Amino acid sequence: MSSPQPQPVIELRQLEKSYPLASGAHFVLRQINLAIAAGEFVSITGPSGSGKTSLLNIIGLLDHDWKGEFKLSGEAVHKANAKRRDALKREHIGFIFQHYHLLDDLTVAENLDLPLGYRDIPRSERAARVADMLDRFGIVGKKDLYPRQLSGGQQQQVAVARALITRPSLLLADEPTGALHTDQGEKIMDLLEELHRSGSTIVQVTHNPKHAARASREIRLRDGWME
Amino acid sequence: MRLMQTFRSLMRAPRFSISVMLTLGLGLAVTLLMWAVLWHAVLEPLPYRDAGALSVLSAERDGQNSGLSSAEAEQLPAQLPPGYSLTSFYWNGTTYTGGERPEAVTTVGVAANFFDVIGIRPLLGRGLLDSDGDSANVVIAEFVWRKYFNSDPNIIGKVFKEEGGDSVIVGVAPRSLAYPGREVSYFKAIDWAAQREQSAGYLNARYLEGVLRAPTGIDADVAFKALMATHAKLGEQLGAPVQDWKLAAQSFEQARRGDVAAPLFALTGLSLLVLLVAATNAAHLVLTRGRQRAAAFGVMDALGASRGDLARVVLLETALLAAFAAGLAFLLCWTVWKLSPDLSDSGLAIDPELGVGLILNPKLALAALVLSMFSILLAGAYPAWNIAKLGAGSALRAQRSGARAKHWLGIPGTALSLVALFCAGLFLSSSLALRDQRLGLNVDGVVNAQLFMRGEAGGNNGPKFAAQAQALLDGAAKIPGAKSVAISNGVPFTPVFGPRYELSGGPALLGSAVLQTTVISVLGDPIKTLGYTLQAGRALSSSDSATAARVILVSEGFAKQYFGDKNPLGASVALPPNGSGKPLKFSVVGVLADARRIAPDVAPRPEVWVPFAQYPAHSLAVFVRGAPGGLKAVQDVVWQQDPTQAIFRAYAISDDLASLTAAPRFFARFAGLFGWLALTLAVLGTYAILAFNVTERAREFALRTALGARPMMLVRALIWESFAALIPGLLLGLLTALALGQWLQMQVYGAPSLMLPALLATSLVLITSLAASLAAARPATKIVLNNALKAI
Repeated sequence: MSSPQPQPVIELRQLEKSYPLASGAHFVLRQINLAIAAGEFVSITGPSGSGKTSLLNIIGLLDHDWKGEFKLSGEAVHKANAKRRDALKREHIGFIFQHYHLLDDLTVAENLDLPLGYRDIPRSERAARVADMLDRFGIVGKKDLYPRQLSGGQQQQVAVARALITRPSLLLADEPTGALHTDQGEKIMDLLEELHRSGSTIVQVTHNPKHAARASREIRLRDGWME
Repeated sequence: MRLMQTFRSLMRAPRFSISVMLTLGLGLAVTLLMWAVLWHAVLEPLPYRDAGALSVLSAERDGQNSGLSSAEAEQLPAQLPPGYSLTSFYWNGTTYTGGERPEAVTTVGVAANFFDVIGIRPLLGRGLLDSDGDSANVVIAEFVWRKYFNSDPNIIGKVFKEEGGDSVIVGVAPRSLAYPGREVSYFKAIDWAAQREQSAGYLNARYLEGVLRAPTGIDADVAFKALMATHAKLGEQLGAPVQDWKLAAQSFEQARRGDVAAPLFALTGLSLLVLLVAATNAAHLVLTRGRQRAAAFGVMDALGASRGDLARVVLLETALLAAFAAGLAFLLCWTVWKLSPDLSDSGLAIDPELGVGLILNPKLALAALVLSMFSILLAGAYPAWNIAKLGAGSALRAQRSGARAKHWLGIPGTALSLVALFCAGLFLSSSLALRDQRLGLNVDGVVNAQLFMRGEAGGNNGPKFAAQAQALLDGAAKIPGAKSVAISNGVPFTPVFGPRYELSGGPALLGSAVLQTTVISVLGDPIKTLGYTLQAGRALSSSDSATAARVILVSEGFAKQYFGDKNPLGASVALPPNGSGKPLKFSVVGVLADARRIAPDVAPRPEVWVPFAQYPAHSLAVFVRGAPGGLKAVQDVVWQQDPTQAIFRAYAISDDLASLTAAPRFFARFAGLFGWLALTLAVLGTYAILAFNVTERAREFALRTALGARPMMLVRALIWESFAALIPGLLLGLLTALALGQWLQMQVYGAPSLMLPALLATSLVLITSLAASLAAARPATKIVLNNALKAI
């Protein structure tokens, strides 16, 4: 008897996104059908304007203006209302941005605490998780520093820690090495690989073929179509 | 934790934080200040038990107002229906001799039930009893207790030293009583038996003021009808002296506070407009900062923040700034209160000893809290909603596309500032009309010392009073630099001096009609000294002695009402006997131009002048015009004649005139201040919106320039954009101002025209907004092409 197929974390069917124009509609994504299983590390690649970031924003529940079907951990996002979508986002998604997007006014520890604050987690547990994450990423000594006092690589390290602190089932990374020097980029990719090995599901958007190749699967987009 | 993070975030944006704090602080300060004034002058409950049940009574006949007679004051209370009570009082004075120099002080004679009817308990001791009428017992005022007796806790039974027999203190009235005036030194029970002995005066002399207390819950109209019915019954018993008069009642609260409620409400409304403009500006600043931080909000959204979480960030920042602004507002209020003589001397019924209590009290703190919440909602709600609905995708994109300020945010600011300026203009027109009101007399540079001469009035002391008056006049004439001097028992702008009589027998008076007339005894040159104008005939002179033919000067108004078309010169006027005896006939030798002697906003009343020697008075004032240091000199003249003579008051008459116009002046100045503040804030708002857009659109302007646009074309385009908010704002403001003006016009003196303030306010807002737009748009002409394009 074969074991049942694991339920995909992400399931997209006939997903399309367009912008209305006077002469019709401009399609950014066309008929996207995609399934990503738990524990996969997927790279989305393609030239500029191919729809990579748009796809990542839809998967990350940052964009709700699209057509088609989208299931996240088995739940139909296309049928969910705004409140439920927000809850799904809080429950499942961790986000890493190209420009780190740490909040300048908050210290490293406060930046890590920020997503926990949005999830009604008790104060004592939040402190424990922040301490754990600081320790795991080796940045305990930097916990009271502000983002401007860190290098780009260190900032992205904190951004990854911030994305992981809520224990998401899906980690999304939009050009995570795009703003870093080569060495720093490699370190971040090592970190993502390590997370993948420990069971995290990761979807990254990247221009860098070398970094794309470090994922377990690569999806190429061109003019909004999946190749 | 969140609060600390918010505080840190604000500290990192000092220009933003200070701008919002100052803007809101200014708006809150003016609103709080006006609220404080409105509260203390109009809204604060009077400190008397069930003050709403009280009415102040007067009497009317043929359109003339007067007080109650002793007969009415004594007999009405006993005949009123159960549950009603009535008290009465009359003004009096005495000379306190317990100090270094004798001091004339104001006292009142009151019915023994005065404290019970008014509804206030003595601070110490007891009130007055019926049996106190023929005793020396008095209840002293709280300030007398403090000033003369050093707040002695064992004051009861001690003596209040005064000329003509000391009084015994049986109680101390609390400071909060402040009725019938703060200047009252003591309250003494009226001796009704002594009043009855003056049989004619008991029925006819109307110098008492009455206060009626209706049973709780009884409507004022019903209470007044009950009083009228009782008065009618009394009239049947006492005949014409009572029957001929009708009682009139006024709400005690209104009588106590004056007609300042409507202008004060209008001013408070005006201050709220300033707060609204401030809040609109703050909203714009908060929104702009929010849009600049769109990316950060986008990140928070991506990290799981709900819309409520995002809105809370904006609201928390605004709340923190509003809290600091409220603190700043309290500080500003206190500073303005301390520094502005207009506020502490506003002519409003506010306790001058209130001091810091005006600002620091729980009611004001509550108002500050409510207003701060109001500001937070106004300044933070729209930006919070706007940012919360942005969404992470758009927010993250906004970082690249640049944010634009909302032009429509300038519309309320423009409209509100126009309304505020319009109201200020209206108040100013009214104040100027009052200032420029032709008075018919000129008291600039005139000082006077008022005194009551020793001896009973109305007795055989006339010649003695006349001799003393002549001696005082001679002394005053020697004051170095004095241009002219006079003595009179009629002092302009004060109700205390200047007796009023009902004169009959005039050719223009029908039947038994009488004309209420102020009869003033004069000596020296009162026409020159007080700046009156002689219209016809001659002035009174020193040759009009006691033994010479009796002569009189009449005012223009008196001549018209008493003589009609008949030439008054040479005609005669009969005055009541000065003491006992028959009426005295005087021959008219001159006509004076009418003068507004009571107050600038009170029409001239009939007035006659008689020589002091022919009609001596018990009270008098020594007037000196033009003497430098005249105030001390005129006091010295009095004391040179008699070192023990008490001076009731000594002051420059223009001070009294100024205090009579203090409230309208206060209204005009504060309305003006609020108008300017609203305009300044609105113009700053217009400037900020445009300046922000110029900065944010640097790349667009650079591209336009690269494509051949001339600098002035860019400026013109920007100004047109700001006009998109300015024109609707002006129209909205103008319509609101004219609608509000219809009401306000009726509330201020002189019913000023609406058109001039409307025109001025519109022009001012238009010109200043245009100037602000030009200043803000100018940098668009100086954008360095390369830098602007590279910055993207």
